Order: sequence, then C-alpha cells, then structure tokens
Amino acid sequence: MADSKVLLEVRKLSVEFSGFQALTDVNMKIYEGELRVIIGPNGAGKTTFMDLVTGKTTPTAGRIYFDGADITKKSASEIAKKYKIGRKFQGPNVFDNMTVKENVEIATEGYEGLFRSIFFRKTDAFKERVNQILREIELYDYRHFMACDLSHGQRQWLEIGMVFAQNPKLIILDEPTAGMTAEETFKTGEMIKKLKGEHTIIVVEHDMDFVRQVAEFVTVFNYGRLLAEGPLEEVQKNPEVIAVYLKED
Amino acid sequence: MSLSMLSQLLVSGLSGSFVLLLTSLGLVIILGYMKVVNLAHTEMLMAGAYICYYAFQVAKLPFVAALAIAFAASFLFGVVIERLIICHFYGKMSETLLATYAISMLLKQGALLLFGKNYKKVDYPTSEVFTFGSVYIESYKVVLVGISILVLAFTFFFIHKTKIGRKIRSTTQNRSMTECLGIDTKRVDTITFSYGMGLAGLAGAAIAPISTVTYSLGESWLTNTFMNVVMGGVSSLFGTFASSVIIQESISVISGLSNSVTAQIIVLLVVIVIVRLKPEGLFTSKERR
Amino acid sequence: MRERLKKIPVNKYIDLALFLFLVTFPLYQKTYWIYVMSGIMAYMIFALSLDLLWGYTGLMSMGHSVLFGAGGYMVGISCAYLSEASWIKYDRLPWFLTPLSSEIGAFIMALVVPGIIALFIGLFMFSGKIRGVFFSLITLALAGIAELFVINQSTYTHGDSGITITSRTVLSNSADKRMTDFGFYFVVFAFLLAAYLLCVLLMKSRTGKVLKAVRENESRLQFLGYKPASFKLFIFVVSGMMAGLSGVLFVRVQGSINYTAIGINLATLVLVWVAVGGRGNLTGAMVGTILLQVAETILNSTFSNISADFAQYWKLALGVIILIIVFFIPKGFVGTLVEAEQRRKDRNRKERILRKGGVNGNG
Repeated sequence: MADSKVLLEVRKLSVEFSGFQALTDVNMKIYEGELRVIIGPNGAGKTTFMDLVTGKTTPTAGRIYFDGADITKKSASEIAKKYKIGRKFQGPNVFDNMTVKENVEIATEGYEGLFRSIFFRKTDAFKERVNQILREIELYDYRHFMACDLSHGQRQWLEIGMVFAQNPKLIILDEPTAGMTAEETFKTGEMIKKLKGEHTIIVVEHDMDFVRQVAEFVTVFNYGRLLAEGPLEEVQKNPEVIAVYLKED
Repeated sequence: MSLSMLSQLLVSGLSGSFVLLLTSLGLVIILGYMKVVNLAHTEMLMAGAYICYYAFQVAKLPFVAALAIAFAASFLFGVVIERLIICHFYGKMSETLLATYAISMLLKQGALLLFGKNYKKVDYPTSEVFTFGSVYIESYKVVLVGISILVLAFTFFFIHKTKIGRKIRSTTQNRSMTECLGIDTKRVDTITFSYGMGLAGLAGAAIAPISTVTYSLGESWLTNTFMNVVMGGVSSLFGTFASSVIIQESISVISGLSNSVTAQIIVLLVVIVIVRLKPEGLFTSKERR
Repeated sequence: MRERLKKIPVNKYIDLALFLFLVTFPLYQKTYWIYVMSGIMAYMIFALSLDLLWGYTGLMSMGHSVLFGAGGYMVGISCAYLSEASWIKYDRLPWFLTPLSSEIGAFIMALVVPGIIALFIGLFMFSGKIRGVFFSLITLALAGIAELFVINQSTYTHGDSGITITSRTVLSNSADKRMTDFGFYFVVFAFLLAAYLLCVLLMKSRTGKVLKAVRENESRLQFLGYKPASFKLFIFVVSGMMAGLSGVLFVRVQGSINYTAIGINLATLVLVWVAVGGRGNLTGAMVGTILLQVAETILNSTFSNISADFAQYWKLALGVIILIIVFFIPKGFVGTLVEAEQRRKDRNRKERILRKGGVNGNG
C-alpha cells in the first residue's frame, strides 16, 4: 500500500472546545483506493475528526492536506464541491419532506452553483445515474416516497446512496449501520465492499461484526489521540487496544 | 449639542435602558429557556398597563399591590395559555409564531372592544423631580430603575438558586434526561412560560405611569423589545442588560440629534450587523456547534 | 393519457379552476366586485412571493409587507410628484429617487428598491450560523420601523394621510389615460398569471429542489457542495421584487397608499393567508388569500351597517381562525388535500411493491 498515492493527510491536528481538548496531535495518512475503518470508544474523537476533515469544524492547530492541496480552513461546501469529499452523517441525515428520488438528485453532482441550477436540464445520463444509484441502494421501488416515510435502515441506505451520487474522491461514512438489523448491516457491508475498489472510503464504526466484515486496515482513536494503526488482526492483538475495549465493556 | 443636553440624553437613556430591560425580560426568558418566540409578549405589557390603571388609578390600591396583581394575573393567564395552546407547538417554529400572534391579536382587539379607543392616564406614584445641575429626572423613573434591578436580581436568584430554577435549567439542557430524573418537565414548561408572561404583565404595570395606556401600547414596544432580544442573545441575562443599555442609549442620543425614527433605523441596522458578527448574541463564549 | 392526467397533483387542478374562475369573473360581476377582486389578485401575487420564501425555503419573513409597501410607495411618490399633488412642498426629488420622475422609472424602481432591501438584509442574515427565528424577528422589527418611517418622512409620503393616486394604468400617471376597472382587472390578472407561471417554473427547476432542501436540512446541504446562503439570498431578492410588483398593482387598483401597506398588520395578514391555504404548493397561498379576503369583504358589507366596529371584530375572528388552523389543519386547506393524495398514492405503491414480492416491508 505504501507505493500508492496519499489522498488525505493530517498533520498534528488538534482541536479544543472551550477548554476541552477533543483531538490532540493526530497524524494520519489515507491512501488512494483504500478502505480505512476508524474505531474507538465513545468520545474518542472519531466524529470530531470527520468534522475537521469535512470543514464542519476548524482545527485549533495542525493542517489537513487532500489530494495535494491544503484544505485546513476551507468551508464545508467548498470541500464537498471542489475537493470532492462526501460524508454520511451519524444517524440518517436526509431531506425528510422530499421524495427519495429528489434526495438522490440533489446529491448528484452537476448543479451546485446557483446559476447552473437555474438553467440545469436533466440529461439522460443524469437520469440514468440517479436510477442506477436508486437500484444499488435497493430503493428504486420507493423512489416516489417521502424520505421520512422510509424505515430507519432504508434512510441510512438513502444517505449512503446520496454520498455516492456526489461522486466523491473520498467517502466518509460515519456509523453507516447504526440502528440497522443484523441482516441490513450485512447488506450494507456488502454494498460498501462492492464499492471499495472505485472509491477511497473511511468508515467509522462501533459494530465489531461489521468491522470484521469489511475492514483490512484500521485506526484506533482513544481520548482524542491516535492509539494504534495497522491491519485488523494486528490491532486486535495490541494490548493497549484490548485494554481500552475491555475497560469500555 | 451642548454638554448638558448630552448628559440629559444619557441620563434619560440610562433610565430608559432599565425600562427596556424590564420590558424585555419576560420575552428573553421564554425564548432562552423554552425556544419559544412569544409574540404576545408586548400585548401582555398592554394588559399589565390596563391592570395597573384599574387597580391603582381607579380602585386606588397601593401601587405595589397593582404591580403584584398585574404579575399574578398575567402569570395565571400564562398558565392557561401554555396549557391550552403553546404546549402543543413546542419545536415548531412557524406554528408557535402563528399561535402566539393569534393570542396577541385576541388580546389587542379584545382590549379595544372592552376599553375603547380612549387613552387612559396613570398618575406618577411618586411625583418629585430630581435635578443635578442642568440634568433632571423624574423620581418615578428612578423607581423604575429600582424595580428593574429588583426584578433582574430576583429572576437571577429564581433561575440559579431555587429548586424550580434548577429544574428549568436542566430541562433546557437535556429534556429527556430531566424526565428520567422524575421531574415533570411539562410542569416546568408551564412555570417558565407563565413566569415570563408574569414578568411582562408586571413590566406593563410598571411602565403604565410613563405611558399613555391604550390598546396599542404593545405595538410601540414591539420593535425595541424584539431588537433587544436579537442583539442580546438569550443565553445570559447580562447580555440582555448590556444590549438594553446599548440600544436605549443609542436611541436616546441619536433621537436628540435627529429624531426617534432615524434612531430606530440606525439601531436596527447596527443590530443586523452585530447579529451577523455574533450570531449567538453578545457576551457568549464560543461553544461546540 | 389517463395515466398522465393521474400524475398531475391535485393542486394543479385547483389552480386551473381558480384561473378559469378569475378570468371569467368580471363578465358577470358588478364593477364593485371587479374592483375588489383586482385588489385581491394583487394580494395573491404578494402571497405567492411569501410562499416562495416561507413555504419553499423555510424563511418565515414577518415583515414581507416592507417589500410590498416599498414597491407601492415608489409608485405613490412618483404619482404625487408627477401630478403635482397639493401637499407637495419640495421642488425636486432627492438624487436616489430621481428615477421616479418618469413613469417607467417608477415601475423599475418599484421592483429594484424592494430587491435592494432584500439583498441588504439577506447578505447579513443568511450566514449559516444565524438561526431561522432571528430572521423572523429582524423582519418583524423592520416592518415596525418601516411603518414609523413612512409616517415620519411626510415630505415625500404625506405622513399618515398617505398618497392618493388620480390615475390608473400600469405605467402611466396621466389622468386622461385612465383605465377602467374592467380593463385594469385583466392587467392584474395577466401579472398574476405571469407571476404564478414564474413560480411554477422556478420551483420545478433544480433551484426549486435546492430551495426545498434548504428548508428541510440546510446544514446537510453544505456537505453536498452547495452554498445555502446564495440560494437563500437569490430567492429572497426574487420574492422581494415580486412583492414590490404586487405593491405596485395594489396601489394602482386601490388608488391610494398609506402606512398600513408597509406595516406589521399586512405583514402578518399575508402570513395568515398562506397559513390558511397551506404553504409550499403555491395553490395554498392563492386560495388562502382569496378565501379570507372575499370573506372579509362580504362580512364587512353585511355587518358594517350594524356595527361600526366591524374591522375590530374581523381581527378578533382572524385570531380565532389562526388558532383553528394551527390546531386542526396545520398544513392549510390545500396542503391537507395534497398530503392526503400523497398518502393514497403511497399506499398504492406499497401494495404494488408487496405484490412484486420485492424488498422487505417498510416500517
């Protein structure tokens, strides 16, 4: 993996909220085409890390490089549009009173700017892409339903579909299987594995079965610091990691 | 503008600031602790002023009794309104605004039909005028400053030092957790809302002597109280106090230079700019968002 | 063909019926009602403009009348100046109002000035961090101040007596070009139809979908690469210009303008129209306006000889109406219909999916 290109790199990343040190000196590299799983107990700083990368929060120290560019203080919309980082939030975060199809269409790249949106006409390629994504997330039959009328798992899939519709270079999935049944979780895992080669993906997860299903290389966070990093089997044997997880349970 | 005129403006502006603080406090509490914009707030001022007129001017009760009656009546009205109407719309911004606006309309038109269009005048409970060199101030305005400080102090005590205040704060912080602790958050809501309404009634009664009591009294307070809330934010009583001073002093001084409408326009523009720079209101620390 | 008709949502049929009703209305009505309905149609444009903002984008402006009145006053001031009204004491208009010395200039200013006001407020208010309720409060304060402002600026606005206009055409101010009520009805109708079509097109476009997404979940939208602030600014300016246009038409119909056209009363009245009809589908805004305004006119003519306080009782009734609406039909009349239709279609679709034996049921 060392010979492929570095897509995302963070250097000495720290953030503080009114005296609370949420993240301290995190250094990390994500390579192109990789599927990275980030694990760690609650409050370890996983979501904060995602917030920093996607521009939701600005760091107090450190830098973030993406695809060779410094994106440290860029706005969320610029990071999404220009640098192409897509993010799925914890818990489904979709447009409730819009149809499933509209949700995917909004996410599909093509008319983010105001003026382009006014004069945008759906091309056949655009429609085909939307339909293809709807089929991939198994919601094609539900495309005219309001997003709020879907089940919890379906809403999670919808948001995953929306992130893929953005056609991002880097996909961040924050707890994609939260609240899903075992069957749905497994399906989600297969969905992600199918997309692995084409995209670079970061997954934050709690569910260890799911982690075993998809993970190769994992990063462990604890108390806002990077605790361990390596292939899953190796990390599982790491005494520090075991200590953290045992203490947690 | 001469120095003595400026100091006169500043002094009346300062006493005006305390009046603005008094008239906004109920609104701030309801918005800050319940996330409800109470558009009926200024009509409660009007109602309080009428209560003061009938209790103090007509029935010749002591002024303090008039204030107490205004507070109690408005508090009770708040209980009824909250239980009947407001409690159904928590978390729905548009519906709350519409519902509270409807209440304000009912109050205002009700007052017009009940009391007619005639102006009522309430005498000053204290009639002396203090003079310091060229600067003068009616003693009742000093009393108003006192009332305002008392109400602020009591509110601070009520929210921060009493059991029910603790419940109010914890409900705002985390409703479901508070419920798990066995606290009836619905009752807390009712009390918070009614306390805010009660303060509005009390403030209305307190300002009755310096206003002409009429059905449209609420309207004249609408812009200033709402600007005050927007600028001061809702997270600290100190913010409300500071923005009251800033708004009322600016209005007072600019009014002296030109006229009160220009003053209000300038202050509104300033408020818009400040809200852009400090969206959480003045004097709030940066929180994790 | 039947399939395609079935796909058209129920509110579009109401729109069609409404416009058919409006276009034939003057053929069998007395002049008085033609005059009344012209005013109502101007108000309908106003309600549409608010629906773009509130119903679609979720920005509840509580001072939309400021933009309506700004448009109206541009024409009013222009008319007073050109017809040399007796109360005018100034010789020349100030430099920023010089366009008002021509008829076309006044019309353009009536669209531009509300647009600029909206632009200014929007630029400051639409940062991501400002909560929606602050927008409502600031616009409410603005309406309160605007009312005082026009009364205060009596040199140009004739204070609280307002401006009376002698003539009535869209552009012209000269008395001999006066249009009849009948003729002007169709002018307003044409503008209403155009405004409606513009709204439909805009909301059907991608921009409309993005605006809905702003309403639903603004912060999520940023992570899809959009800048919600620019979309909000855009719709606020469009809506403001449309409100300005409705103000112009209303002034021309009514033949006068005063501070009530810019203050809190009208600002909240338009909210009530949209709430009664239902927001977010254009039809509701128009239906709500026509229902309440027609009701007010009829009740007014019935009761005004019994009690002089009719206006007060009507406002009291409006308060009750608002409460009934928010309690029992929070989506408004049309909104409830549209939702019922969506539910029915959803049920049918669900049955189809289950018949296909496809994906698991949906809880």
